[in-house]
Amino acid sequence: MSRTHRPEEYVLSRRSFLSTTGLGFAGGLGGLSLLKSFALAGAIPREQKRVLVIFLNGGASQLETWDPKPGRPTGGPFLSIPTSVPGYRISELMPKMALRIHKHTAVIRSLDTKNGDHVSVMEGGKPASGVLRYPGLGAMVAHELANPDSQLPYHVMFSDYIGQSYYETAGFLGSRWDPINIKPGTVAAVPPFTIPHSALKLAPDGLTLPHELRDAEHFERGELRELLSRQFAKGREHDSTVSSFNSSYSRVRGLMGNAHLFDIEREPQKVRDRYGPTSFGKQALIARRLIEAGVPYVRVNRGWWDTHGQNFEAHHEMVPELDHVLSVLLDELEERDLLRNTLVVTFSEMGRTPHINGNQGRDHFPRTSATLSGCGIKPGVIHGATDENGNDIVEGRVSMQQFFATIFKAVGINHQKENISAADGRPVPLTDYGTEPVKEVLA
Amino acid sequence: MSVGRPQYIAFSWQPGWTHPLTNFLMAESPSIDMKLVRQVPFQKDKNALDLLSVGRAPDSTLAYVGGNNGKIFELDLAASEPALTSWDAHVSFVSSLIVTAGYVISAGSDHQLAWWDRSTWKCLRRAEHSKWIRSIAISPDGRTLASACDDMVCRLWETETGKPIREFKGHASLTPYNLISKLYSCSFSRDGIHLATADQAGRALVWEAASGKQVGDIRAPLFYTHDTNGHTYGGIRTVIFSPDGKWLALGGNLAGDTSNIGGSKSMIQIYDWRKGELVHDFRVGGNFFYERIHFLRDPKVLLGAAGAGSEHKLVLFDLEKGAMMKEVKSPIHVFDLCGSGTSDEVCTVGPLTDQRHAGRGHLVLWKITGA
Repeated sequence: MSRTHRPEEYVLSRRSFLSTTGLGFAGGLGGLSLLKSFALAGAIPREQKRVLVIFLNGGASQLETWDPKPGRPTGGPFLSIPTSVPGYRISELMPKMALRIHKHTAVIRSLDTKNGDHVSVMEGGKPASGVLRYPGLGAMVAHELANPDSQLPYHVMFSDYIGQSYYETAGFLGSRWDPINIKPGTVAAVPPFTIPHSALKLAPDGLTLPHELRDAEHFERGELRELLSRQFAKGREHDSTVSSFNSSYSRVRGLMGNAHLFDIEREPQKVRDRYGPTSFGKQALIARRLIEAGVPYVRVNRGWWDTHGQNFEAHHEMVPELDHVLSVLLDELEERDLLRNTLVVTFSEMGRTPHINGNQGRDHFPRTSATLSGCGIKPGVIHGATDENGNDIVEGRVSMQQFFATIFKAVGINHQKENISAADGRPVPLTDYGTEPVKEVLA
Repeated sequence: MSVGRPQYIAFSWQPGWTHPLTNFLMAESPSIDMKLVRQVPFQKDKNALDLLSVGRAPDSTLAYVGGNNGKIFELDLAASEPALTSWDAHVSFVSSLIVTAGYVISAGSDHQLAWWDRSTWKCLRRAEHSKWIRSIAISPDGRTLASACDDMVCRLWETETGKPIREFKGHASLTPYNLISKLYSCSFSRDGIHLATADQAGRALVWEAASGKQVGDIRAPLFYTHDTNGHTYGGIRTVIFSPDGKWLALGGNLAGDTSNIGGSKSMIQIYDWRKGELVHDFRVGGNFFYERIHFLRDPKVLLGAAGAGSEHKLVLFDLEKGAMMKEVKSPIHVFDLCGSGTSDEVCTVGPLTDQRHAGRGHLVLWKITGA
């Protein structure tokens, strides 16, 4: 199914008008020109579908989250607790999600990533082939869901502290669909390895003008650049490089006009407190702001889950944070009537071995669990199962291609839609031909 | 490691660190040694059994060992080939054990503190906590028992009746990075007057056991540092008083890349807890966590045991000279150890470092010589 936008979807509501133009008036950025561009772009499409991915970099343990095996030799120290779905138990480290599973969330306990290593899974497990560079999930979703006239970013990614997030590119779709990567500073490389305050970044660099440049001058320059670009582009309408550059300039200006979306201070203290003081919580709150504004794809990375040593100590620290942030995010999206059009996904590039090594760690494992919440999902479905020790999938195996197809289907994208590779002209479907989504978890 | 001349470990002091009193000199001519007497495998096949806790009976040659499978094992260390018997005690990890004349008292990650009749293995009572109980300690007179739980509360119990006496609250529930903290360890002073507790954020508190009053507060933040991979674990894994009660010894790790426990540096810090002064700061030994530390009968000698990490050894420190005396290679990662009261033996338990061999969880009995 090819997605088309109906005109009535782009209603410029008072709320979106005020939120979108707030900085334009307050800070002077853009002024009337910017306001005009937003108005023309139709502001926020109320029925637009969005996808928010919480990616657990490094490979979170399924046994310490969604598929615990307490009392088994592979079980580790943590107990399991009942959830709001009768008969389904999750790790005791997730008491908040335990109360919410039935409301919005489906769990897949049988995701077969095939590859048990730190490779990007954002291309659905498809490696580059010859000149063909496959687009990542974010680019594919943004390409299908974005309003091309919008000045909003299409695709935003928050990296974790160490920048080991798996970057995803737009591949043959073109750099226009690449993520705006908000990458933090580095952690000090010598003891005591403290994280400087500057390492936490919640907004892209360069959103504000240089001190010596006034707003008016900036926009005059922009208009001159556009004039020259239009002239240069005449006769080059089919040159993707030229159009990509022009689009990029336009998007940078749009991004500057939307700087307020990345400003967490604009949220009431009560809301900020709700998400909590951790960097992951703050990033999730900004992700909600972006989703609310109409950004079609946002990815928040929380890492680093690669726990070959001290697996239980690390998960004891990180899983409760995931539990809290995911719960608040789902609650808030529901309260704001956004969850019916927003799909929230959590997964990792792989899982962790049921076998516990001598360092109290778990190693790489090509099977894991994932969750899908909100838009297009049948809540309370627990799909698939592993054996009593978690060593193998015994029911409902799901490939990465199927997982992606399920994501596409949930937000109304035809998962078999073909895009044309600019490199060699071949048609490339969003997921491999013949791939079926996991119907059991779809509403 | 060779001896005979001073050994130095590369170290650059950073502003804001604790007092750089680090002494990397290796003491010359160590007179104390440790000899491996016996190594007992707990299973014949390779599997995931780890041994996490150990205690010795005060009145016999029996030892009790807690596993990651919830079992408590009993064995006679005097037997040439000790038979292993066991009972199901917890759902998951048996994280700490105390053995008295009448009881085995165990604590688990299943939130349970349990009293077992040593002769019948019957459970006499359980005291449920809200989270993982990391450590238990018994007072020198045996009358009271302390439990350190991840709810950041240390609780005092009557050993005989299981009656709760008081709670020690003072550790923050969140780390400086606003993540959930852990209360790793508790220990009594040898006169029983004081109780020490230590947490993940690098804070150790000293309490009057009888009144519950906090009388000491040691901040050792290097035990809690963010590693290069974004992890913030670490923490003071073990705390004990020196035999004279003046010093508090803390064991753990100066964080490096803790996902693989690579690039990290084992660390023991010793404080004069009344003055709040750092007395010794040992960052020698290598790339591992000091999971347990132990004063030998000679109070000048401290034993540090390497737990998880890429190295596996026991390290002896001369506290008079402020220097490492000797490293002894261990066949296992040491997750717990216990002395034997009057004799010069030490039991260690943990998984084999070479996991290609069958039987992962082992107990190792060591003899201290030259003390």
